[in-house]
Amino acid sequence: MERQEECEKAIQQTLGGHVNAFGVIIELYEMDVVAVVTAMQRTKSDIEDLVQVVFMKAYTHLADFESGRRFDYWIKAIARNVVKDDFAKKASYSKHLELYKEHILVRYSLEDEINTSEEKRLSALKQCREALQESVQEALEMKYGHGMKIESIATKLGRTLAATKKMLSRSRISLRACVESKTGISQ
Amino acid sequence: MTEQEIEELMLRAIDGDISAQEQAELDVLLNDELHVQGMMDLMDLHADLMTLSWKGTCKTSILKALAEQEQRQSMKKRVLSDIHSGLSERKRSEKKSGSRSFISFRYTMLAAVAVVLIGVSFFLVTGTSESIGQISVASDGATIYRNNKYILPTEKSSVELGDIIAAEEELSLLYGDNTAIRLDAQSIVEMRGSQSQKGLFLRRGSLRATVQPQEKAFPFILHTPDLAVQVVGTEFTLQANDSRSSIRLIEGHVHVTDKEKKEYALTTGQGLFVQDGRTRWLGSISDDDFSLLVQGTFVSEIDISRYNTSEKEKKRSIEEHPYLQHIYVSEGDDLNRFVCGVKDKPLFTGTEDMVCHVTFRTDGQEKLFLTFDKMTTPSHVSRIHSRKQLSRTGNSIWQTLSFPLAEFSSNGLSPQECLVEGEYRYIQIHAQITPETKKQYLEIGAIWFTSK
Repeated sequence: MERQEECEKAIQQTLGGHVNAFGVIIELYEMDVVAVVTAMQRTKSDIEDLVQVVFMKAYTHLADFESGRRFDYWIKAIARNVVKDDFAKKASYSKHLELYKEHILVRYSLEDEINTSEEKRLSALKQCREALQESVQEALEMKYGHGMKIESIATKLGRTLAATKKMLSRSRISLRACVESKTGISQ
Repeated sequence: MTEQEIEELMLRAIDGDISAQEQAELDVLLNDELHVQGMMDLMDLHADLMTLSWKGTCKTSILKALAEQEQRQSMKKRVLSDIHSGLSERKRSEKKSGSRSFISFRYTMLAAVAVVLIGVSFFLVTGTSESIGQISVASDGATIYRNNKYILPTEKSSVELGDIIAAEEELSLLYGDNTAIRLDAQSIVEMRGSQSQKGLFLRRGSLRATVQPQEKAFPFILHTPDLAVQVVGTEFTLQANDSRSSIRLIEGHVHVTDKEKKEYALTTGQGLFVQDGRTRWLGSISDDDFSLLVQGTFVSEIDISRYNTSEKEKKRSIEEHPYLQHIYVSEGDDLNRFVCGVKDKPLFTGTEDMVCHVTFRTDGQEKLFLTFDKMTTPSHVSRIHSRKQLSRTGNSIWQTLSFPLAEFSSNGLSPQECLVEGEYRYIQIHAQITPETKKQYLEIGAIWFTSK
């Protein structure tokens, strides 16, 4: 079943009073929401909290969703608003985070374009990551998938701290170049 | 600094692995538009890498939060309907009293005139209104029903005798003598008593009272539909819901009377639990266990999911638990609060091979039905009833019933729905006895799980 079709069915069931049917919607669109929420959020629990807020809002306003329209665009729009609200709550940032906040807000104002560019970027990144050496992929997974500290990653890989730091930063720089070459857009 | 060194510096900043001096260097670099773009690109990459590595983990917590939200919404509706039903009752009783004889009406009028005269003189002497305390509201989470009007109180609004307060959020009531009542969310109280004697009726919900010393002749009297509590100075919690009321004393002592006019003197740590008009003396019970018991989600702390623990040990650990044994039931009783499980851990992951065993002791009733529900959380129950009738084989004997869990699917649910999906964190057991005599005895010995 197509994602949108499966989603429409789950929406009807949820609106019919089956709260658990909303679980299907979460499964289908969690990644889309995470992709928006990771902007400015640095820890897994912060991301989880905002993802929860987004889905709670979506649940509350589910009856407003117009059948036939793309649900991923709808829920991502909610996610962007949640992120914007979160920006407003966090009073002070360091300079680079302040600049990134502005960068995100500018990007969010171009809503129509970002849906496709986000998808392109993520798909290119996936390909580029898979082309990396296995040990590098493992290190990236430990850092981003498990939120491990670089010291722990170094111990796990049997490398020095400096070498691990170097490996991670090199891999990210090469990933950035790879994504740029694949998409033609700057990462 | 080379381009690569700049990028490494930026990545260290993103990772939070940057010294103050490096941060200052970076801030200078970020005055250049080109470097700003580079930094933004790296931060986008960082976010994208986190997204790609994301392992879907939010579903359970979101569904749990939604279930709680739904529960709150339905409670909100109930709170309002409770206010209305309470008012209708009051109107009915007012109407009833209106049909009294003329003589009694005349006396009532005389009494009313006397009360008014006393009230007016009291007002003239003291210059105060009927305020008996203050309400503190953290948000717009309360409604006061006063003189046929709904009032939305603000912080430090006054509370008057006769007020009905519906708390949607937690709030506190503070009397002039610093006696404090903390009302939990979704609670309703009526302010009763008089200027000289405090009184309060907890119609629904729960509260924690810290009562300053009162005059012995004028104790603070708190009512629930099932209990009357007389207090002269102590701290305790009180609950009232549908057919249940309960009290647990935190400190001091109180005098409690139930509907049957039976009296109880409670001291520190002791509790009473009333259900369907029947009062149960709880003896000493911890605050946490008491809350769980009252909510109907009592969870055993015993880890009975440890397969490597010997059966003997499992049995012993349950036998030693104060609330998993010696359960007295009488005709028609439904022990639907008998829940065993392990906090934050799966009790077991369902497979079709799993068999649940229950060992219990009875005193020889004719019929015993046991029903099992599997629960993923205490509030999320998949009603899968597997009713088993036990035939009598003797008095005071240990018997073991083994339920292949696949049988749970017999009520129209597929094995996938009841066995494979998710983890089972709690097992809820309903035991219903149809005895010949009124009082029967059931002692749960152990519950454990094995593979077929």
